[in-house]
Amino acid sequence: MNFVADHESLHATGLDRLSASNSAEFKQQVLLRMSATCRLVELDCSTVRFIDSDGLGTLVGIHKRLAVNDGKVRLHQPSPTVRQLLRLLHLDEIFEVTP
Amino acid sequence: MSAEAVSAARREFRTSLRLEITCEFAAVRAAVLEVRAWLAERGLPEADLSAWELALAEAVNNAVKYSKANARQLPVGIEISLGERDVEARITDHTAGFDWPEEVDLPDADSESGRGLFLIKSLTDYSTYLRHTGENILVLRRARTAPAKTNLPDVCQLQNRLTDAEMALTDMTAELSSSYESLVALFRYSSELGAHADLKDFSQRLLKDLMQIAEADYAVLRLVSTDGNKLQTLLILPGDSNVQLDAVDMADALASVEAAAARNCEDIWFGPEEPLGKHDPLRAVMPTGNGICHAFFVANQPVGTATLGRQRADKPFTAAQLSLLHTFVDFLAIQIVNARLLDERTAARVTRRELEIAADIQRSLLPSTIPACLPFEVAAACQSALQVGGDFYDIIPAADGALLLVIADVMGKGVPAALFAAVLRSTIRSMPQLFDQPGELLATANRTLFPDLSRVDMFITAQIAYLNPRRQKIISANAGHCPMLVCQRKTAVATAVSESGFPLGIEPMTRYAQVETDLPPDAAVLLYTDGLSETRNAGGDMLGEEKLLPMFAQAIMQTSDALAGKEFLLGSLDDYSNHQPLLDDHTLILIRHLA
Repeated sequence: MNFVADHESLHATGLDRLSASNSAEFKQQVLLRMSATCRLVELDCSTVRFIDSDGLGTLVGIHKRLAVNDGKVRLHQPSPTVRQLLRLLHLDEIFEVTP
Repeated sequence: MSAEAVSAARREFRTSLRLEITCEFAAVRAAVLEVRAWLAERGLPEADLSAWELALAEAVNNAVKYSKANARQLPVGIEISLGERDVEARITDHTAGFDWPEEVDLPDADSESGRGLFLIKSLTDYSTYLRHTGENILVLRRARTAPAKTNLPDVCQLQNRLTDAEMALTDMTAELSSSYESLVALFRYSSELGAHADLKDFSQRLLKDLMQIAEADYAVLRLVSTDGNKLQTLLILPGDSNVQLDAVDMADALASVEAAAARNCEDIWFGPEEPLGKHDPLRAVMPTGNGICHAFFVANQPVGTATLGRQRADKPFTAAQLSLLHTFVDFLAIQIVNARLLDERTAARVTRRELEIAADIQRSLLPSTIPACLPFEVAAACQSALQVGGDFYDIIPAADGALLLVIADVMGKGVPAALFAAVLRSTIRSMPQLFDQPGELLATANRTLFPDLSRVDMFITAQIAYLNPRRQKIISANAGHCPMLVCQRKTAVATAVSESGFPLGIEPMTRYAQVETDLPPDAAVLLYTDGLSETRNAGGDMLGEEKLLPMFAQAIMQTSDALAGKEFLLGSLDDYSNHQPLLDDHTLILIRHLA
């Protein structure tokens, strides 16, 4: 897991999965590095093979933090399976999904 | 999924993977990946792999997340079973359990939890949660996605197929090894065959072993009745239960899984998901739990059903245990059919013995010597057909050097006919005072025998002739028997004496006319049974009295004594039948005036 942060954003890369086994740690790392004025958390999903409901719940929690600053979570290049999952759960309506 | 589809899906060959993981999230991911790889090796497409990866992760995560504090040291069980049509997963947890919802709504978009169950429901076709004290089982099932159709399999597909074949071989080898115990049992039974003739005892020991190996608590064995309409109980195990099961009507396939299995030629599983019908008789033995019913057949004919049951509802029988049931019961079916064949052979042997007895009786009735009655000479024969009939003849010395000649045919075959012949012989022999009045003799014999004959719907045809050498006459009376034939050598013509009354045993008060026939020198008389006149030639034509008359005349013309005449006549009959075995007894008495 690698993070690059500035005042307004946090970029997370190198994640292979986001599931019950690592989502708590992921959330902790993000909150630790996120500035108070952060308005965007972008997760590079090109390396993410698997996300489960715990992982998605974590992203929803981060989204709620950002919403205070009118911010958002961006998922960059998720796999077709993850896209399908987001659609199934209507989470593509609250996260920004970029190709 | 319909009940038929469920049972059909379970009858197929399934291969399975069983894992146990420690109760922690870190172990879940590795287990899910192992399952994914196992399914991938067996050719499941990516869509199915992704679906199972996520559904399993959700399910096993829940098993870890909600595990009771005092049960964290217990493993979480994962069992995957792959069939031709679907994949089934069973996750065993040690949580407090919860009521599995019929429907799960998607939580609000900003909710951080509550999506797991929704995902499980969305990704599977069937799910149920079996709750039990201490542990629960989540059962998930998803139909396999049909593979995309391509004309030429690529290298990857071929490799997958090869892998499948190798895995199947490995599975079969493993199953063979695990069948060692059953093989040993079956060999033991084979060696005991013959030593134990009692089918029930044999079945009981076989079923007990099967129950132990297949971990069953109950077993019921039923056999199809000989008329094929019912399933009759042979065994209920354990034997100490006092339950009685009435026979099941084979037509009652709706109420009884046993009848349904036998009629539809299928294995039927029952349990919490597919409970026994309200009126299924098996409920008396297996009120709860689950089981399998297997119908067994020999030469496409249902022989019976065997049902195994388990008290625990959450532990259904596996495909391997069903195979075990098949092996044992099919072995038993062969023994049952063999036992029935043995019974039939025994019955045939009894029948053969009965015929031998009848033949002995018939032989014992015939006179060993023929008394002289000059100037007449008498010859007689009784040739038995393959199936012993009721023919007999008797030649009894009478007063003044006369002879009483009796020839009779008891309707029917075998021992009963032979016994009535014996009774008739004794009855006649007990009335020497009536020997010179054959008509009265027949009437008295009829009155005596009528009650016994009519009770068993039998009758006897008989001809009695009193040969008086002094007056050179024969006085005859006939009870429905073939007419006496008389031949005069000088005319070379034979004629029939056709006067006749009812056979014995038809009417109690029948009167029989007596006919007196002169027997001048060179005259000959033939008394015979219908076996002679009903002799058939190669074309199937019956000889009949018309052709017997000239045949008899020729025998007299060509020979000079009774014995030679008899042999000539029998030879002519044999020629006529083209030397075929007799269809009926050939019995005759030939009398010749030698002077």
